[in-house]
Amino acid sequence: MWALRDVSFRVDEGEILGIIGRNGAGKSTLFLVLSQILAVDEGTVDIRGEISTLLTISAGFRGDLTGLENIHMSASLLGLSMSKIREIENEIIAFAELEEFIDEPIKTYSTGMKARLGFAIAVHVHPDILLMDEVLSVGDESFRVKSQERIHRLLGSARAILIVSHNLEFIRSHCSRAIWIEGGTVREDGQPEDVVRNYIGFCTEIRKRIEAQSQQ
Amino acid sequence: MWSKRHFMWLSIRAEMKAACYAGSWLGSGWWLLEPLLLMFVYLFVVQVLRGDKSSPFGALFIFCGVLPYRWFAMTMSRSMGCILTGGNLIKQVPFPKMMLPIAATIANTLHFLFGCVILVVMLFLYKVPLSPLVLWFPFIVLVQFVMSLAFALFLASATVFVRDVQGIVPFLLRTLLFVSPILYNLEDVPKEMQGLYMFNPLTSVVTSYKYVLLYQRPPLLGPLLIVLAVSLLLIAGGVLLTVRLDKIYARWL
Repeated sequence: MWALRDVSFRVDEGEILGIIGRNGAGKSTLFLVLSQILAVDEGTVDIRGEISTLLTISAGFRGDLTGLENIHMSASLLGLSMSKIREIENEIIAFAELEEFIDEPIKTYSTGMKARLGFAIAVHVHPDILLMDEVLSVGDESFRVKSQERIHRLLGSARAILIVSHNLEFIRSHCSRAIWIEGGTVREDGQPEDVVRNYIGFCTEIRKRIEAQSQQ
Repeated sequence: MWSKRHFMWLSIRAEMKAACYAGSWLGSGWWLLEPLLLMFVYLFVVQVLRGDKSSPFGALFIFCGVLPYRWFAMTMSRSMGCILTGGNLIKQVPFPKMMLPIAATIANTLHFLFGCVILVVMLFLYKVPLSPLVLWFPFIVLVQFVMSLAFALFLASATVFVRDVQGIVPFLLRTLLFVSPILYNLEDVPKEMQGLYMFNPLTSVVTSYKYVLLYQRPPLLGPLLIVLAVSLLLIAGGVLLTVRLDKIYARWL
């Protein structure tokens, strides 16, 4: 069993690549490989520059440590120096709107507070290549507006971006190129407009087939 | 690893903090209290239940064995789960997983050094005459550190691939408490079994602590050097192994 097979593509500087596909198609595995967390059994991954993932970093928080200590842990893990972290920590805290709670243990935080902190840390680390995995909406409405704004700024600043998302509208409007992954291989690689249309067509097809089967 | 060194220092601090039960009344007092409480339990077993009052050092004798044992046992049980419980982090950020068992070992070493404060106070209370042989003490600590690190590196990886290790290790640690000369001396062991005892690295370490601190005798230098050499080899193997597995762990977590 292969999670990914015959997946070959290159992303050049300035590109924003959207990756779409059904659940279990291999998108997350592809991300684990690209972010250098998993090794490939065959083939190569060649990355020129600093790569970082904008994932739900909040999942790695330690409940017994305070918000500030978790900022330090996560940011240092992402490769930032201690002086750099001190420089941006207030910015992160302010962005996450957690000034009053930052010295409280994370386990006292609500899910939303943790998500906000995780997002704030992730967007304050500026890698050359950015991987985003469905982090486009965290927090309440006002925070969501702010985070969308931030993501748009990131889209402008990183040298290359790869986004996995089920938000096809986002892919269509923000990406310069799209890849559709199905059954662990690249099914289509091209203009977001075309790829998304064919993907929607494919999904409708499958849904019809399932409906037809259940009626029999 | 160098660019992420701060993560390791912060992990060590986090580990230290976890051991003093965040939010507890006594806080870091637990670093000192825990080995003391353990000492009283074994003192009760040895002196009251078994009626053995032969050691002139009483509580100090027990503490001399329990403190290094606790250091070793805590290092093993903390490093055993460190990669396994770090799953959320490991699946999100690439970093040398080796840092986790190293941090666990260093944190527990610092605990041990805090416990040594009690040891010094007790040596003073029992008016033990100190000879220049106590200068060996830091060397024995070094040997135990290197040995703990060697085991920690292997255990941290082993648990990921063979989950049963989590069941075996606590049992082995409990057994080790009784089959190492901790609550008794190496000399109390039947002659024909003493050779067998030397295969246990804790034997030479704990016995040497007692020799240099309590009995003004030189440490078991030969066995200590063997433990040191074997541990250094194991560390080299453990480092190579952890580096090779670095991008494999995520698949098993």
